[in-house]
Order: sequence, then C-alpha cells, then structure tokens
Amino acid sequence: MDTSSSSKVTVEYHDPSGVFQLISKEIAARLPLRNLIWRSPTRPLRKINSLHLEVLPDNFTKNSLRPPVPRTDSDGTTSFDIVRSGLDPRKNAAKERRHQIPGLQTSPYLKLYILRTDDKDAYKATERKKIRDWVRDNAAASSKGKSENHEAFEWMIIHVVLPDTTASTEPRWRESSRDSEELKERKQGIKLPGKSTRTVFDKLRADFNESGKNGQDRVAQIRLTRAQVTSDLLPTPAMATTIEETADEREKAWEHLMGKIKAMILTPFDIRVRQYEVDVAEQEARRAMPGFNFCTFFIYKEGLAMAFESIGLVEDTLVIYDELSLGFETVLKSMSGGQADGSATTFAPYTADIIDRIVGSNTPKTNGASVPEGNDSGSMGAFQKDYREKIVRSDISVFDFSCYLFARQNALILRIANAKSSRFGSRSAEKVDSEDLVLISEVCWRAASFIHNAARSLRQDLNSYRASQWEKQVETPLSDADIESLVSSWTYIVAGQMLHETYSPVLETLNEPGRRQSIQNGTTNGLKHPAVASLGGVSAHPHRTSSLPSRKARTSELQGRDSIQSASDSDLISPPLSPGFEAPKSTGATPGLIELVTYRGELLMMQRKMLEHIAKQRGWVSGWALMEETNRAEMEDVDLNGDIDNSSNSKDVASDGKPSDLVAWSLVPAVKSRETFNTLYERLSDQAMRLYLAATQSKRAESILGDLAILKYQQGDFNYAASYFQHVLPFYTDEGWSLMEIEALRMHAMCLKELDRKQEYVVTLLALVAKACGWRKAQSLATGRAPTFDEVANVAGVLPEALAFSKHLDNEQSNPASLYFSDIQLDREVVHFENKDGLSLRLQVRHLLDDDIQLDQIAARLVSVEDPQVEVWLMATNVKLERGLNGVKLESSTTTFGSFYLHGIALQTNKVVFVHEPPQEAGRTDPALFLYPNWHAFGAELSLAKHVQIDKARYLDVRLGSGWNAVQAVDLKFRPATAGLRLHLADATFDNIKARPDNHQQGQLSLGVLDAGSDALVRVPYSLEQAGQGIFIRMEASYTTSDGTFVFLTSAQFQTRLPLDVDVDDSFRIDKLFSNFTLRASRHTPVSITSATLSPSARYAVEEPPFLPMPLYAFEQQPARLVYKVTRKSADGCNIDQKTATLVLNLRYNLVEDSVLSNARRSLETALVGSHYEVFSRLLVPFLSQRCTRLMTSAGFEHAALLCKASLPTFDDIGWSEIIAGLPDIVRNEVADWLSDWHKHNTSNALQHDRVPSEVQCSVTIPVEVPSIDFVHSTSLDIQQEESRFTKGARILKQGQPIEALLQIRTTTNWSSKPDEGGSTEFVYDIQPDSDCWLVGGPKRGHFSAGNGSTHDVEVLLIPLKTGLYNLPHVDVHVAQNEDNAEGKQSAQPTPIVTCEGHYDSAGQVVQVVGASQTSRLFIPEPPTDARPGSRPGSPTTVKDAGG
Amino acid sequence: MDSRSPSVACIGFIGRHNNPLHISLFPASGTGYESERNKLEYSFMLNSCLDIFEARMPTKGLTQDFGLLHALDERIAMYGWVTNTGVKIVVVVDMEGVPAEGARVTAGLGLRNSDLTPAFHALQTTYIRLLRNPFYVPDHHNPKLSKGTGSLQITSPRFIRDVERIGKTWYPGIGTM
Repeated sequence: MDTSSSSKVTVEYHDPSGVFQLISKEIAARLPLRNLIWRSPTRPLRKINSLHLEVLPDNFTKNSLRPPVPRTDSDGTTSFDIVRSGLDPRKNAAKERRHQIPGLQTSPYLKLYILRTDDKDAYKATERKKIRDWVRDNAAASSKGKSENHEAFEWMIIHVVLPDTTASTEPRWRESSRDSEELKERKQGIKLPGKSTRTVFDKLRADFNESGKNGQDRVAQIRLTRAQVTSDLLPTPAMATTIEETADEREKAWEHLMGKIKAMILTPFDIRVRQYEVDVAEQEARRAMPGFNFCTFFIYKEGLAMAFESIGLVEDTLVIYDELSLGFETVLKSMSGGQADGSATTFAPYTADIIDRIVGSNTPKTNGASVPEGNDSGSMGAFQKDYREKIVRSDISVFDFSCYLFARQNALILRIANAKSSRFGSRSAEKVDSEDLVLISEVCWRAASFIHNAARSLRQDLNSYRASQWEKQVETPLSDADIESLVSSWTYIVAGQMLHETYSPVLETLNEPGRRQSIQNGTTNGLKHPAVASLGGVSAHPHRTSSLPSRKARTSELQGRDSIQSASDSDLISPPLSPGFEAPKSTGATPGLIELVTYRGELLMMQRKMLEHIAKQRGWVSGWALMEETNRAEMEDVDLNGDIDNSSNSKDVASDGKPSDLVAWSLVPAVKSRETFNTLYERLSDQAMRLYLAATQSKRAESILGDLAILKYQQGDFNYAASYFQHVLPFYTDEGWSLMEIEALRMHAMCLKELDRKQEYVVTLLALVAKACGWRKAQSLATGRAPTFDEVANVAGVLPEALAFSKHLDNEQSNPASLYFSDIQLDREVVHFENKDGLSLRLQVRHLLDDDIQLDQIAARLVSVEDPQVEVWLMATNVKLERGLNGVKLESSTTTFGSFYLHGIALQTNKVVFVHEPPQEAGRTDPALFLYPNWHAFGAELSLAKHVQIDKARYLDVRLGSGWNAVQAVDLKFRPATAGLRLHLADATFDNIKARPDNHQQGQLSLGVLDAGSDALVRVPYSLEQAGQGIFIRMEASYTTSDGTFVFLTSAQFQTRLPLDVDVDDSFRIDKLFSNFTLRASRHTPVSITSATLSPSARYAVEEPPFLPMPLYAFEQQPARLVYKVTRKSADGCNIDQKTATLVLNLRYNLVEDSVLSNARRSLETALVGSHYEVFSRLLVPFLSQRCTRLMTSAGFEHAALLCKASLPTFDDIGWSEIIAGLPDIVRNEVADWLSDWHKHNTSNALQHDRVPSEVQCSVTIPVEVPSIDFVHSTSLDIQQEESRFTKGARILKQGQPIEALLQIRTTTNWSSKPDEGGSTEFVYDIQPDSDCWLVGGPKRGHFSAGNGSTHDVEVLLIPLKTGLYNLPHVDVHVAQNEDNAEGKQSAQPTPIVTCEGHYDSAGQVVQVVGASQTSRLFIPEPPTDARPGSRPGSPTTVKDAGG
Repeated sequence: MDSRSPSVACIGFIGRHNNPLHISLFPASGTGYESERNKLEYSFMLNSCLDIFEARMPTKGLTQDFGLLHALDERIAMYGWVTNTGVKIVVVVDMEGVPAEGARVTAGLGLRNSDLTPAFHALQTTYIRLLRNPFYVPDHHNPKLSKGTGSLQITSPRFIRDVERIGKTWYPGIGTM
C-alpha cells in the first residue's frame, strides 16, 4: 500500500560492465529532475516542478553483479537509493510488488544501457552485439500490443568513458572554442585528416539512433575523471592520454544526458496516460451494462491516477481519486437501493482482519514490514493493508474500500500541502514555511467526515461479521460491547493517526506550555500512547519516548494556569474568552492555521469521545456526561451529594454486560484503571481546549473547561473545579442557556460545599433555584406546551438545603424575592380582628417549587403616602409555603388611618431574606392601601385648643378614646416634626386620665388606666420659636390591654396662626377714648364672630356699642369693625397697676370651614348610626372630612358664609371608590350605593348660627392695653366773629378779609400712667394752613408750656385767599424738641420721652369764603355817535360810500 | 441487525444573540435505541456549534446554508442554517435514528448538505410564520432586552408543533416538506 508513495519514476539500468556505480553519484546530484513540461493534446499544459527518479538495476544486472554496497535492508533497496532520494527504505516495501493488472505496475519508464567500451574495436567486437540484443529484447517488447502501452518505456544508452582508455582520447567537443557559451559538440561529418574521425560515440549514434527526422537521440556519453574511478577499473597501463574535459564541458555533457532522460521519461508517460484514458473510457461506457464491476473500473482509473502520481502531477491524481470516491458512493447507493442488479460489483460482506488490525498486537505486521514497537507511526497500521489486491479480486469490504480511498486522498493532499509527515528525512525539515496549512486543515476536515462515515460502515461490517459468526455458531460471537469498543478504538486510532500526520511545526508556537510539558516529561518513562504523544508538540521520530506526564507535573502546570487565570491577564484562558478576543498574531498571520487548529481540536475531541465510549463500558464517566448520569441516577433517588464514583455507575453498567476487551492496543493502558483513563481524558481535553482557544472557538473551550471542572471534582480537586465553574458560568447566563447554567451551578455549588465556602455555596444554590423558578414562571405564563422544567433539570431539595444551610452564615443573604416567588401581592382589604385592635392583611405568594419551605417570618412594610416617616409593619411568623398560591395573613397590632403604599416585603428563613420591593414613586403601579381602625378601637386625636388666650401658653389637645379596650396604660410619644416646636410635656394637664408616675421618658407621656368606652383629654402646652408657622406633629399612642400592646399612629398638621387678625386703633379725647377694632380673617376662610365683648378693667370703663348684628362675618378682604368707648373711671387712684388696667377683648367665633365640615361629618355620622355600615365609620367619616378639606376652596367658604349654605362635593368628587376597593367584597357595592344615596340627600348643608356645634366654637381672649399717653391736647381754632346771619351751614367769610381766630389748646395728663407731678412741659403748636387758601397773620408756630388741665390761648389772624368751602387750617401740637440736643450738645441727662396725642376739634369745621364786594360799578357804554339809525338799506349814498 | 436510517435528533433555534430560542428533541426509535436524548448534551452541542457559525459567518456572506457544521461521532452530525436576521437553525441528524423502512432506506453513507435543505426551508417558513404572529414579540426573546430570569424560549404551540412535525417527517432525500 502506497500511502507514502511519492512521484517517482522508475528507471532501469542494464549494466553489464558494472560501471553504473561510477556515475551514480553524479546522477544523484542532478536529481530530482526539475521543470519537466508535459504537453498533452487532450489536457492543459502541465509543468512538473521536480521529479524523483528511482534508478534500479534490471534483473540481469541484479543477478550478475553483486551490489556494490552491502545491503542494509532485506527489501533490496540500496543505500544508494537512500542517498539519492532520501527514501525511508521501509516505505518502499510496497513498491516492489507486482500486479497482474497492468496499470498497477511500476514498470520503468526508461531503460538505460550503461555501456563501457574502451575502444572502437572492443565495441565492434562485442559490445555492439550485446547492445543490439538488449535493444531487441526491450524495444521489441514495447511494441507488442495495446496492452503494453501501459508499460510504455524508452531506452537509452549511456556511454561511460573511463579515463586512460582509448575512448577517452576521442574528442567530443570542438577544440577551437574554449568559451563555454560556444561549446559545441563536434559534428560527425567533420573529418580530420590522418585519423579516423569516427569515435566510439559517433559509432554508437550511427548504430542506434533511428534515422529520420523524428529519430531520437538515444545515446549519451559521460566521461569520467580519474578521481572518480577506482583504480581496479582503469586499464593498466594507461592506454592513452585522456583528453581532459573542462568543467564546462562536463557540465554540458551531463545537461545533455539529463535533458534526454527528461524527454525519454515524458514520452512513455504520455503514451501510458493515453492508454489509461482509453481504458477508463471503455470501462466508463460499460457502466450501465450488466457485468460492470466497479472494482475493475477502479483499477483502471487508478492506474491513470498512479501514472499521474508517479510523474508528480499530484493534483490531477487527487481529482481522479475524488471522482473515484464519488463513483464508489454512487455504486453503494445504487446497490443499497437495489438498482444494481446487473452489476458484477461485489464487496466482501465484512472485513475479516479488521479486529486483528484494530486490536492487533503491539507489533502490527503488514506486508511483512514490522513496525517497531513504540514507534508513533505504528498507528499507521490502520491503513496498512494490501487493499489493491482485494479490489482486484473484487472481494474488498465496503469499509476497506473507503479506507483505501481516504488513505490515498489523504496522502495526496498531504503531499500537496508539503506536510511534514509526507516529507522525508531531515533534509527538508527546515523548510517549515512551505507547509500549506489550508490544505493540511483540509485533510483534517476530510478525516473528520471520513472517520464518521467509515465508522458507520465499520459498524455494519462488524454486524455482518457477527451475523456470519452466528451462522457458523461461533462460541463467543461479538457482543454489542465488542462492536462498540472496536468502532471506538478504530476511530481513536485513525483520529490519532490523522493528528500525527497533520502535525505542523507551527502548532508548537501555539502550544508552548504543552511542549514544555512534554519536554519535561520526556525522560519519565511511563505509559506509552504514541498517538497522543505525537500531539504534544514533537515530531514523530526523535521524541518517540514522550509519554503521559506525571501527575505532579500536570498539577503544577494547572496551578500555574490557575494563578494566571486569577491574575486575569492570562495568555491561555482569559483572552479567548473575553469578548473582544482576536487570534494571536502568529495565529492570524498564517492562513489556514485557525482552521487547522480547529479541526485538530475536533479530532482530539473525537478521540476523547471514543475514549469515553470505551470507558463508559467500564462505568467510568467524566465531564458533562457525568451530569447526565447523575441526573438519571437522581431520578432513581440516588443522592446527588453522594460520592460520585465508580461504585454507583459501575453497578449500572454491570447489568449491561461486561466491558469488551477488544480495545485498540494503544488504548489498552488507558483503560486499565480509572486513573489512567482520567489522565488521558484530562490530557485530551486539555489539548483540545488549548487548540480551541487558539482557534477562538471559545464556546467549545468553555464546554471542555466544564468537563475538566467535573473531572477535577471527581478527583476531589474542588478548588480548581470551583474556579473553572466560576469561569464558565457567566457565559451561559448572559446568553440564556439556562439548562447548562443550571447544571454548572449545581456542580459549582457542590464544589463550594466541599470547600466549605458557605456564603458562596448558599449564593450559588440560590442562583440555581432562581433559575429553576424563572423557568417555572415562564412555564406558567406560556400558553402552549413549553418545555417543562422538570424535564430538564431537577432542583428538588435545593432550596430547603440552601435555607437550612444558611444558618451557618455570618451575614444575612438578601435576594430579590421576584426571582423565587411570583404573584406576590398584598390584598387591599383590611381585616380587623374580632376581639382586639389591630388589623391584618392577606399576602398572596406563589411558591414555584415542589419543596415546601418554612419561613421564619414574613414582614411587610407599609409607608404612608402622605408622610413617608410613618410606617406600619405587618408580620407573620413560621409560615409554611407550599407549591402554588399561598395566602398568608400578615398581622399588625398597629392601627392608623390613611393610605399606605407597600414598601417592601421580606421573607426570611435563617440568614436568607427574600426581599420584594415594588417599584417606588415613579414606576408605582399598585394602588394605595387604605388602613383604618376598627370602629370601636382605640382612637386618639390631636387638635389645637379651641380657646386661645393670646397672652398665655397655647395648648395641644389630645383626645383619647378607649373604644372597647380596657386600657391599662397608655404611652403617648410625640414627635414634633416642625423645627422650633416644643411641647412642654411636663406641664401637660389630664382630664379623666392620670399620669403614670413610674415611667418617665423623654418625649413621652405615660398615662394610666382608661376604662373601656371612656374618653380622656390630655392638654399639652407648646411653644414655637417662630410665631405663626404651621406645625406638624406625629403621635404614637401605644396602649396596653389584656390582649397585649397595641399602637395607634396619628399625625396632625395645624396652622398656629389665629384665623383672625385683630387691630385696634385708639382715638383719644380729653375725657374718653374710642377703641376701634378691626377683625380680619387671616386664613382663607371667613370667620363668623358670634360674640365680642370688651371687658372693662379696674381703671377703665367700657361702653359697648348699643347693638351688634351678630354673627359678624369677617372676611379676608372685608374685615369686621368694632368700636368701644373707653372712659377712665373717676374713682381710681394712681396706684392701679398696668395689668388690671388692661382691657380684655373676648371673641367667640367659628370658622366657616370648620362649620361646614363639621356639619358634613355630623350628617354622615348621624346617617351611619344605626345603619349596617357603622363598622366603617372610622373609615368613612375621616375620609369624608379629609377629602372635603382638600376639595373645598376659600371661595366656596366665602360663598357659604354669605349664603349661609354650603354645597358638598359629590360622590365622585370625594373619590369613595378608592377606599371602597379596600372593603370586604360582600359589602363593597352596598356601601357604594349607600354613600351615593347619602350624597344625593346631602348636596348642601346650612350654616346655623344659633346652633354652632361646640367642636367648632373657638374663642380668643385678647388683652387690650390702653396706651399710656403723657399729654393729650385738645386743640380748637375758634373764629372770633359775630354770629352769622346764616346760622345754618358753614360760616361765611369774606375773601381777603382778615379774621381773628382764637387757638385754644387744652392739655390733660389723665391718660398718662405716670403719676402727675404737676410740672409742665414745653410744646410747640404749628398751624399748617393750606397756603393757597389761607394766609396766617402772626406766628404760625409757637412754644408753650402746658401741664395737666392747663389751657393755652393764642390769637391768630386768618385771611382767606380764595373763595369756596375750606377747612380751617390744621393745627398740630407736639413736644418741643430740645434745642440743646438739636445743637448737638449732649445734655447731662437724657430728656425723658414725652408722648402726646392731640385731638383737633376744629378739624371738621368748614368755612365758606365769599368775595367781599361792598360796592359795584355799573358801566353802561354810550351809543356810538356815527351810528346811522335811519339808514335804509339800499340808499344810494351809502352805496356810493361803500363803493368809494 | 436491522439497517438504520438517518433521522432528525434535535432541532435547535438559536437567536441572534446566541440565546436558545427553541430546542426540540426527537428520540431515536427501534429496538436498542430507545434511550432518551439528553437535553443537556444537546444543549452543549448547540452551544458549541455557535463557534462554527461565528467562524464561518464572515466568509459565508449572504448564503444561508452552512451545511455540515460538525460531526460529533459516527451517528450525530449537525447542520446549520442562518436566516438573514441572524437566527440560527441547527438540525442535528442521528445517522442511525430510525429503522430503515420504506422511503427511508438509504445507504450507510454520509448525508449531503442538500438532503437537509428541505428541512431548513420548512423550518425557516415556520419561523417566519411565528414572526408574523402578532403575539410573538421577538424582543421578549432577546437576552439583551428582556431582563427576566426565565427562559426566553419560544412557547407558541403552533410553532412547536410544526417543528416537531418537520423533525419527525424528515428523511434523507425528501422532496418538499
């Protein structure tokens, strides 16, 4: 079998005189032949770059002559051959055989006759005869017939001229020219005188060259130098003086010879090719006919292929083989389809020797050539068989046939690719670059598909073999396991062989660590796995001792890798797995390298798979396959966490039958024990992974990494396993390969458990469960038949395990609940307890897994919508969740009123918390929950005290209602939320309840017993840093009853600013004072004042207005006014203190807003009492007032105040539906109906002034001080004039007439709080006339001093300037400024400030100023003198005058 | 020993982000071949073959048929197809999937790529029909867009039914499906 056959052409020599040896070296130096051009009429021009020749002696020569050099090999090739072509002698073994089918012979293309004739005489005498005989024998044979064209050849005579012989004296070259360019052969025709010009050479030519134009020159001459010839061949003594040839001449001679040989080889080749083509065409034509035998056809066509191959046209050869392979398939198809009835094609039913060849011995012998033990090429035995003979006999098996075809194709491609394995010897080994990796990878690719196909036919083959065994009733026929094992072994061997053959030195650069490793272990002589060892980065021959690495070396290498990996700048693992990975430069630079690496990786994986197949029979499983095993095992209730080892699996296998012993010899050591299997498995995986990484096939590499991780786990190397898994996991997660992720997670978790990495263990388990839950969730959503989770992965028991284990954790492990549970929902319906306060809500959780889980507690946190500080916790403890929808009642002892959002739910077991957090704020979709207390539950209400005394502390009222609770103790915790608000708890007063003295805490009031059904009031004074701001207080009332402690939460916001602004304007008189109160609504709501009193004090008496139209409405824009007359009581002394002097204004009022709301509440309450829905009163009533406050506007209240009637919002405006949704199902509609009915009847309510409800009635007590004024002046300007005739109306003054007036200033100190010392004070009066109207005669201002009761008179002259109605000039009196001070001198003691008020009596006095005309001149103008009284119109003179 | 004929072992749809969309398994039939196909194993197979898609994608250009991706062993071989939206269809063929009967009788030789073409055409048509279903939102099956933890697999019953039908009826040399 010629897998290694190269293009070599056989040349046979006939050397009767034994001189060939002398020229052989020269010939060898000129081989191989270069640049042969083959022209064929039917084919395109081909150029053969180099052609090796195999020069063999013919039978005669072989027999007659002892080989010049002792043989080294039994096969008969000479060392000469080895030197010549670098041929491995063993490879030639196959070449020597002969076939009876013509095309398969390697008959010579050229026959040489090596002639030694020392002189013409000898030639004439003997040699010519011999040559003629030889020519006749051979040349005649070549023309025997058509069939002989298969062996067409040419013949040629080489005349070897020895020095010192006569022949050597005969010139060959023209002597004249020494220039090599012009070196010409001596022409025959030239005759030199005196000497026979006919040389032996000439004679030879004349004798044997065919005459005629086409005659070929079949004669060549080689002259030897003396140095080349051993002395025993030289004639002694020397016959003649040799003509020494120059180097040029010698070169020329050789050129001639080689040129001739080239031509002589191509000619028969051409003949042969044509002959084969004819044969093939003939066979082809017969294809459809009966009796067609594909084998015969094959032989013919292969002959053509062989011809091409021998001449070096490898591509053409490959084409033919490809055609043949196609033809083979076609034949098989037609045969199996039963369409080949007439065909004579037969194949052997089975391959008899296949088992021997696979299992073989450790020294497979093929064709007598033994393969030395331990040689890597030993696996070549897979294809070493005499296939052709079988083909010729037409009893080759299908399997063998395809093997043969593949082997041939493979060899040819490798040759084209110049693969290392197809090259010979070390001479060309350096030319690594010339390898065509693309083609080598093609070989791998072909190999992969071939192996699978062939393995299939091998299986059939073995099956039919078994069938025949059955027929023969062999004692131990093949078992299924045997067949399996054989097929796997064969595949393993072939894959190994292909790996060996396609090994390229370039791969070494990729696989540095691998090489290092193999060098390291080169000396350790362990198990031998030729096929495997050859992968390790060494060529076949020098490193045949390489072996599996020792365990130690392996680990160190892995450790190194691991550390690199953890350092995250690895050259091995990290880069290819990172997304942006690109092939290393060396990889990318060589075309085909990536493909080659990939396909080699595939072959390795194929080997691994086969190894797994075989190992599986022994119950050894590793890698992901183990997961499958365990999964299957788990179905049968095998503990997952148990020791996965041989024990359990081998038990399974034991039932299948015993493992086959028919294992390839190269695999035998590996399947000896579990350990050796693991080692080989790991090694193959590792190498394949490296290759895949180099080929950027990250996914496969990851998968193998996972295999390795599982292997490590099996070996107990949990650290590596865990880190491998950690590495692999993210890739599956990102792309949604849930199934794989689940398995990886599971394994990872097991590793972590072994490593006692508790936290990670729990995290991983939970991740695993999350996956499963996610799957389940999707499944529940799916409409169709989605793949169910149980089909693919089983997580039973994992969640309970994780939860139970978590108690060993140090920290709490928080997980989003949405990953583990679905349909988490809190019911909006508030359920109150039947016998105690508090409330409960129903939580709905869907548990997705089959395992029941026990939760320590479930806590839900509700946060108030209005005030995020207020939160309510609902709890449930010791909850058991089962698969499906679970309802859990979450209870809270806290009651409050208001709408709440679910802020979060925490489900906790041990240290694992599942947190459910609905989206906050913006993304919130869930409606608010409305919490409210039971209708007879404990209640607490905050309000500001209704009765305010401006000068006293203000109070916060806390009304407590015990409801149905017999309260044993109450603690009130206040949390003022307003800056500057201080509650003076120490000064709190209590009504109907007592403080508990024992418990005293900051910010807390501890109160005592409150009986059921009783109310209590706590009044807490407060103060504010800034007056008038709003305050916000939260209060938590925790009260204890016999049922436990409950909490009531409430909060309130108040405006501390009084709703009324009261301004007072005092107007002083000498003896009385008018106090003018302006009452203005300060908030946006009108205030209805129901009563107002100004109480007199000890010093002052008050005179009220005779009638007040109560209620007075004070609006924001339109204040109410009250005027009181205050007089000083006469009886007093001077020693009444300021306090008692103060008047007190007492106002009772109510806000219209409050009244309206109160009416509305009252109306609803009244309606509720006795109805079925009274239980909801604590929900409905507060909600109504809350909403009304929000809805009603200040304009509406003003409206109400004016009309005494307020309209209420409608059912829809209130938004009842919000809370109705939170009511129990049964009553929902009824309540809605009832409420809407109520609204229909209560569209408005009337404000009744006479019956103001007490809770809205407010009062304010305002102390009104009467200001202390030192001096009060009363000024009057009295016109000194006799009484006018006109008593009514204003006085009449004459314009421009001066009038005397008396300015009288009276002064009193009655209104002064200072004791009257009787002194006088300097004052200034200032007359301020309107300068347009009045002219004041005399001083306009003047000083005067006044004391209590003094009167100061000043006479003033007034002159009215204009006519009309005018006020008298204004007079202002004020305290004189100290002149000294004005001048800037500091007086020794500051002048006491003196206050004074004045009242100008004459302010309203009006005078009428009239013009003072006593005489009138009447002017009557004279009639004009030149008047023409009688002139008539049209008089001629006038006309004339006028005309002139 | 009965002769066996190739059958579809697994059909996988893989989304453009290399996420599995649908995996259907077809157990082998006939005596001695009953063992269930392992979904994990096939998941790994499909996952691994993505490498080959990736490697060949640049050179393949517009052609959809990726032909034989990878032959795992003598029984299992994977064939690939890519839609123009980047969805990969992988058909895993079990060379000894079913007993050779009727039209299924073939030689024990390898398959040609063209043998799978009808199946791929049918599968692509099925997928297109799925896309035309308004209730199927491709983005819901995109790991980049949907953050769910559940599977992103196709759940349309009709789609699954069609795929199963194709997987069951295919045999080498079938004309149209």
